[in-house]
Amino acid sequence: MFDNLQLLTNGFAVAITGYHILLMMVGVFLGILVGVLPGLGAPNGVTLLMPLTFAMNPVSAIILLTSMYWGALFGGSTTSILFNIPGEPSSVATTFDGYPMAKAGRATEALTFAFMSSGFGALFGVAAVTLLSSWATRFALQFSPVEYFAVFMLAFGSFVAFGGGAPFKTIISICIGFAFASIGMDTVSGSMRLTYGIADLSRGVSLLVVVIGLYGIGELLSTMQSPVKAEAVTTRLSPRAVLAAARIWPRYWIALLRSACVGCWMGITPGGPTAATFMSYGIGKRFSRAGARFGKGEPEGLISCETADQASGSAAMLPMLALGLPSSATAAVLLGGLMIWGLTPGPSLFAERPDFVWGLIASMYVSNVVAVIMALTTVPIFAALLRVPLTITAPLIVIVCVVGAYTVASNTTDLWSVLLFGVVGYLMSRLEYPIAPLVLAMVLGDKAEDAFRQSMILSKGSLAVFWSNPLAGTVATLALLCFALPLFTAVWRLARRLLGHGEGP
Amino acid sequence: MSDRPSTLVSRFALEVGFALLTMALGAIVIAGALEFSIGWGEIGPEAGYFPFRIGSLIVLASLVNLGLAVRRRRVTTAVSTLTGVEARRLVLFALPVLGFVGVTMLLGIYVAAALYLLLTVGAVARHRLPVTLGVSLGAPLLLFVLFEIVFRTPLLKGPLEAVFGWY
Repeated sequence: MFDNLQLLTNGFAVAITGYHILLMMVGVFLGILVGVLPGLGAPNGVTLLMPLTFAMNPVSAIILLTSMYWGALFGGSTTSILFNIPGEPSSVATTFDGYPMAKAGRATEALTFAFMSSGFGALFGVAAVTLLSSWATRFALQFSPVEYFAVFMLAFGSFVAFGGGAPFKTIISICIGFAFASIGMDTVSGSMRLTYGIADLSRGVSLLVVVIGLYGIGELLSTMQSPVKAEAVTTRLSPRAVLAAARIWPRYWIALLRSACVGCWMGITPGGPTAATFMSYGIGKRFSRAGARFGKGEPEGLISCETADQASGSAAMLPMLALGLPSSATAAVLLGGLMIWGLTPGPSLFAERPDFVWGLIASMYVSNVVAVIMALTTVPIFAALLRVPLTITAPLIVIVCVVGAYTVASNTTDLWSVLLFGVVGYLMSRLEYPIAPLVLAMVLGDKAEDAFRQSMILSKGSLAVFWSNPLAGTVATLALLCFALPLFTAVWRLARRLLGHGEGP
Repeated sequence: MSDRPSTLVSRFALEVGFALLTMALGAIVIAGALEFSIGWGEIGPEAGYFPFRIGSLIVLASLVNLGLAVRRRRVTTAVSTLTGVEARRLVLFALPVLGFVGVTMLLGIYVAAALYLLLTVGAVARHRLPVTLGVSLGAPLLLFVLFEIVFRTPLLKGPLEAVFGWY
């Protein structure tokens, strides 16, 4: 643990330079911007910015991109509270109490609470990352391909079991991601797979183009079909009211600690920020004395979501760096970025590039403080931005998406692909097919297949290898249970109906 | 019943359509996998092993989704996913986007973006002329400065830029 502090100090030396602080401010600002605008969110905001970072040094690039992620998480809360429009899926639970608070004339209080709780959650998450990282890397060192494959399966299983979507739609989403990942050169045999003789397919399907299409154009199409009129409750924040709210905020320390722990847990295990917010909200509702008032403008409900949201976002960096396992779509995109920069996540990254890993971790402390300050001071700007009619912002966002798709590889075919994936994304969101599992499967596809093949080589083709040691066996069993959970619930419901307890179909 | 807006596409139709689409995709993946050996080679699973199983899973899961959609049809045929008004809005949004990308291929991103904004902000949404001109000339100019000069990441250019010596 002492070693970690030493490494963290070195990390601060890397992270705190004038240039990096400037990058953090730019990143946070852009993040809040994409968090606020419809059709742009954390995953595709980070994606759009990524091609511009290819020329940067990896430490600076990851600081810029992660700052954008934090900013987007903050920006999502602003729109949830002021407009009742969740800018991010993980801000949906924020609307439950945030908007009623704003309607009751407590907008300043709600925003202050939200940002300070987010900041607290983030710092708690980073502290967890700092303390657990050496343990996590030691743990990851024991991993052979067998354990890796089991952990990947658990990640996908948890989407099926706890993702909230229809299980078979989640499975479709995962498998399509895997199929996209296997297009192009097969890493083992060197043969061209699933290219059907189309030259453009031989370089594979670009993750960045898919994300821009699915999230960017897809969401714009949904927004255009039934536009929501954005009407702010209020947009003025008086510094005195902010300070007054900040003074009573520490009274909610129990909720803060509880939600931060929930968030960290959901961030480290593959659950993702959206699941974390709902779980934290649910736990608060059940166990807190204020629980009965949740949903009617109770500050504790707001604090529960915001803290867990940001805690899970920053804690998710731990499995991403130590295992190469992203627990959210944005983390998956960042992981894709690491690979493009030539960095392989895992224990070796901690050993070979301590400047990168600890520079990133140290920057997370600073950038989240930057984010709290910037989120509070820029509320009027972004609230004004939301009043610009959609007929102007939507075409501009289309242009940003098309430009972003072009910068990925300077290939004109990508411009058509982005539109195609936009239509697919629109259909998926209309029919409630989850998109995040597809993105995750695309990033992890090759690695999962390699891990599977290597496991099979080790075991000479026996699937029993996944139960050959306690670690792999436990993870593999949990993964199977996750995949089977929807089946159990279906059988359970059927049994209840046959026994006459149900109320019909 | 009568005050409900005209349903163009019901939830049921879209569910079935998309399930059929994913099923076709699964079949294409299987066909692609069958170009290779899908079984075991000397060094474990061969190139087609993984894609074949993924493709089969897509087909199977699509069948389940199709079955679930059909079972719920009594409820979901009445639910609209797209009304006539919504469809009109979508088409008015999507057609200019298609045109934008098409024109980009000929004239480059900057000119196409300006034309696209003139069309959407000016002709479709009917904003006032100063607003229209400001947005449709300002945005491409800003893009040009950002990408060609600040980031040095050249975007697709066309004949107009060539006149001024930018390629």
